[in-house]
Amino acid sequence: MRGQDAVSSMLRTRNAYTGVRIHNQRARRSRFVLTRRHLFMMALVLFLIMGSGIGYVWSNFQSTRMGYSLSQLKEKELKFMERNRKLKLELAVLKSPQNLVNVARKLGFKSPSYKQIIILQ
Amino acid sequence: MNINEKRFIRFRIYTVGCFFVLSLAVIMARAYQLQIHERGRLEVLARATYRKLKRLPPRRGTIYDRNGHEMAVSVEAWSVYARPHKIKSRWKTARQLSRIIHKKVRSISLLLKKDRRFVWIIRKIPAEWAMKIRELKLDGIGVLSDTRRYYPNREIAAHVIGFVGTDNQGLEGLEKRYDSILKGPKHTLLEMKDAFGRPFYMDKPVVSGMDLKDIYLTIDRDIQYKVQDALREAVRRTKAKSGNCIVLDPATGEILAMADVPEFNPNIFNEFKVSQWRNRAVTDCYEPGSTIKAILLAAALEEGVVTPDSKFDCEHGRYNIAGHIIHDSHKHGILSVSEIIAESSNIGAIKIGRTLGYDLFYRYLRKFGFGEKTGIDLLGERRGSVRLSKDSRPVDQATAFFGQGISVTSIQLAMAFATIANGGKLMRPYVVKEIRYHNGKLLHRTSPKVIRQVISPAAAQKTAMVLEEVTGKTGTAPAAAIYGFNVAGKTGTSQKINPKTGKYSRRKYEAIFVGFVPVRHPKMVILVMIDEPKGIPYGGIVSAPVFKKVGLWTLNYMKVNPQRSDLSLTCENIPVKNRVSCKKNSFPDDRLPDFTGSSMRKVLNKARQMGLVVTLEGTGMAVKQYPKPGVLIKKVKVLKVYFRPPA
Repeated sequence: MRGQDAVSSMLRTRNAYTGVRIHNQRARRSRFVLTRRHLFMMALVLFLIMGSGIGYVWSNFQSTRMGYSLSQLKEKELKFMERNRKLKLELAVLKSPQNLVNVARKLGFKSPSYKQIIILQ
Repeated sequence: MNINEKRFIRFRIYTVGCFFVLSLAVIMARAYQLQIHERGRLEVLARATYRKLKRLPPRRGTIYDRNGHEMAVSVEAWSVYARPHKIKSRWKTARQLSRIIHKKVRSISLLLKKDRRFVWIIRKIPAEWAMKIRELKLDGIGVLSDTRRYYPNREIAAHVIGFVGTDNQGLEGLEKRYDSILKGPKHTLLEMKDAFGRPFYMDKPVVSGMDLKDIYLTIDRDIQYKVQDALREAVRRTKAKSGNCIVLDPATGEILAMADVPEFNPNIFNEFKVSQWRNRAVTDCYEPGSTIKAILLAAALEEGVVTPDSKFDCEHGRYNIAGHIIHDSHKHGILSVSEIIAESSNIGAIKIGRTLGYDLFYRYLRKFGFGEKTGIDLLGERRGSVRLSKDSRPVDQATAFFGQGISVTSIQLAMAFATIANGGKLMRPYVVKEIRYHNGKLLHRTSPKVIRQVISPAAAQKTAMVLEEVTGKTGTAPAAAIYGFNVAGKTGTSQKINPKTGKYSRRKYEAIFVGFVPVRHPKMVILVMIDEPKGIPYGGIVSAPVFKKVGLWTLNYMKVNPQRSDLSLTCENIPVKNRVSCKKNSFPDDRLPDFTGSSMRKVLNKARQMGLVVTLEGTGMAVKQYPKPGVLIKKVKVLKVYFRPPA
């Protein structure tokens, strides 16, 4: 006996013992239907997943890129700080009294005599 | 589908399931092994590939003068090292290095032959050389960053500041004394590298400024320069062995300048003799000679045993003490205390000393700080020595009154005179004014410290007035007199002991002059000591001119106006080009002259002579004045003069 026959034979039959009519029907199965709302939700979820994925990759890429430039800038900062120190040293050498006196003498300057100096208050 | 088919399907499902479960278990087991079991070892391995620690050279704090001029600065330098066992061709490497560092190939080669794992080839080279060496990419040769100490003012205050060694450790002077403060911490930067070795992360460089400390001195660079210049010139002129000079503020004990000759350049200290590094002003003791008479006078005046007018017989230059004959350089008869000091009579000093008594004199010497360290923040200070009465014979006690048998340092002597200058307070001298963090935040400030009140202000004032006569026309040091200022001081010429004979040498002397200016409200104490001058050795001739030169320049530099109104300004004193406006005053001397038509310089000079306060307005020649000419000078408080450029 095939399954299908068995089922059809069971339809609209009575119970042999009780005579009660049996309504044995296959339960109706609900069909899955993709509504617009479903599609919209799915698209939204997909978009969010992909967006966050791309965002994550992009931010990582940016972070690395900025890391490179930050590293270069910090290297530059160290170099400039050192250069600043060297320039300060050079300035101190140029401003040293020995140097100033030598330059002044070359330019023909002379120290003023004490009588020429008048201090203004 | 029959039952067999169903079973096969179930079998396949179980097989695949088991495969996945087993695979997951293997993955989990491996993950456990890597992440937990071998975590430590693998973490180190991983870090080594992408993390690098960059060592920053240890820096050292800067030393500034009182006005913020750099006196000692550290900058980046480079050092080249070798790992000899990694070098294939030593001769070739040495030749390549030699071209850059200008060192002999042979000497480099010898270094490379050494049986060591690490050898320094050259230290503290400029960045350009280091770059060239790096570009060569020589096997076994490396370059490390380092720091080098520079002293931009070269010899200026070198004896005070000192210097550092190759490893930046303080070796002399303040560099050694404050080594722990100046030494900066060692810093490392964490650098992360990608697969290509490019850095993509570096942690923050340490720029907090709280880890490095700078020192600010009481020394004034410009005064120090002038002092060294004047002292160098005096030592050269007198062909002396050495000399030292101190300029200090008597009110606070701040050292404004401390110079030693012969000098040395701390940038190349190795090229000078070790003896030249010594700060003689604090480390060397000598007999103070007649300068000690100022202390004797102060003690005698404080005790009230003499007055400046008390008379003593100076025995015509010859005095016998227990069989020993004491001589004066000039024969004197009866002299007052003021004259004894002004003319520096040894016999007169003995007489004053005997009136005071040796024990009291000894007590005052100790109170003035002789025989003990002044506490100056410099290394190597000596105590000097003063003898107790029980340890000295009568003749020793007598000669101590004019400075024999006592040994002092220059700083002790200068501080004793500062005590007289500031009204009797013995101050602690110091050279470090402030210690600040590198960001400018104050860490420590040295406050002036009174050690003790030695004599009363009245006695100090009387002593100063007597000492003023030393620089007068009849005194021993007219060469120390400064135009427009009252100067107090004392000369000293002490014989040195010949170490071979143990007796006083007749050829070797120390010429000293120590004094302060102006006498009222002194701005500075200046001590000049010249060791073994050739020719005339007197302090009034050898050292006093240095005092004058330094004092005059420093007073101008400190903007101190002349305080004496006895300045003569006549038409003859005015430079020729200014004489056009020099016209004769038509008013009596006690009345205000007519300044109209005068230059600004002339107005100021004249007003200074009259002791007037002047207010100037405009430029050019004087056109108007207030008060008007002819007003009594006594009534004038402020003179206002208006100027206008000539049409």
